[in-house]
Amino acid sequence: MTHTPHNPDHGPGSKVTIEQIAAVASGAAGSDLAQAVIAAAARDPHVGKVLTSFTHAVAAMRGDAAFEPPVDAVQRAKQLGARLAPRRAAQRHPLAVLGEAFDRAGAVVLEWINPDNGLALAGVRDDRGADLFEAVVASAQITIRAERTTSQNGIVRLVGEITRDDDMPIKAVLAVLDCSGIVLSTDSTDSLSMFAIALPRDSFEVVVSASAPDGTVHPTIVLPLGPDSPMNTRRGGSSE
Amino acid sequence: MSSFEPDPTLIARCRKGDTASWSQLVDRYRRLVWSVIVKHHMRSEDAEDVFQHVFATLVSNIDEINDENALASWLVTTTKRRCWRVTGQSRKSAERARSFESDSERSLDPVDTRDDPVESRAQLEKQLVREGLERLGGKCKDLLEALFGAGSEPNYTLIAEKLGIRIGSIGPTRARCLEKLSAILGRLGFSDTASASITPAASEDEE
Repeated sequence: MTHTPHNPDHGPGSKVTIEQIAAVASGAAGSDLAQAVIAAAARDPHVGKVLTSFTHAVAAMRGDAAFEPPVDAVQRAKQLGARLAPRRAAQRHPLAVLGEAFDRAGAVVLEWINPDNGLALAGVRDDRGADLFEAVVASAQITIRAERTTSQNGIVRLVGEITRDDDMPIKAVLAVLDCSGIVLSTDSTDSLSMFAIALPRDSFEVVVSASAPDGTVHPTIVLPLGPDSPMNTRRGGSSE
Repeated sequence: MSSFEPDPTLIARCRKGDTASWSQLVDRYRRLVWSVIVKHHMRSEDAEDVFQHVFATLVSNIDEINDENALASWLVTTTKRRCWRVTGQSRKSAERARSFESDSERSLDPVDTRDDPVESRAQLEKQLVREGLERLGGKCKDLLEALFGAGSEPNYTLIAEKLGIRIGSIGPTRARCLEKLSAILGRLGFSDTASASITPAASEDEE
């Protein structure tokens, strides 16, 4: 960058400094200086290029703070990544397939606890408009099919079945935990392998512990439900 | 200059489960995502849900990103699609959303130009400047953000106090910092997209 000598009178043909160009681009210059710099820019392509560059940079920066999302929304996005990202490190772990499946489900299941918009879980099928979830968990040799439903009294439940690969019923205990690990609701599969478990608004994750009639114990499955801070806690708060 | 980690580096670390890199990624793109959401005039709770959804989709699909340098474009496209889907009020928006239904929402293609390309370009240019500021770092970044970020008339006294500099040095420092930022933006290709016209800053304040 070539700095031209400062000339305080800003008269026609005067040189302009980098500070003066910056002042004009920033909108901090008076009309006399602005005219002098614009005139200099018209005469000298180098000045014109600098002025244009500064002006566009300033325009892009101006008011950018208005696009700052709510702090808690940013925090939740970070927490979600903090919970889900480390699972990817254990790619060869026997539960990797299961983990990835539920990671995806968990990302979408954010919508479960937002009944207002009518969307629901979609899970690994990537059919985000559906209320259905299905996961074939190869490492645990089980299949989970579930549907989110809202009962007439407004309680949101996860209703579904857990079966072995050969469609045989499986005995499983399900628990919904909050972010502190406190059990909010529990259920167990019936003789047909069906279950119906409530998803209170503070729900954080669903834990499924299954065992087959022959005594086979399947790996415990943890289904993440959303960010650490339950979404309902911000409903009444300020978003800005 | 600050130690700026490029997107491919952060993405690679995120894939390995590095939560600090994920935080950096969220910080880097939070304003871009939010700026797209803001333009859709959503209810605050819907806006926050879209914000969560976009980053949730990103973390879920980070293994499938093929072009790590096109992350900003992908975020813009994903956010718009999500906004259209959630709002779904105007016929135009609904038609746009349907036109995208055939594409996977998780598609990691570069920016889709079927919507307003001028608006998309402006959003990406702003992101480029944010990246430029991040690369610039230090007091220059703080000064430029203090001077221009708020959008209102800057209070030089407060800025000088906050940054621990004399009021009289704000002008010269501003010039030096703009010069450095301009050089960084040039390397990032910002000048390729900027208009060549010479106009005072005041006429370009509005988006």
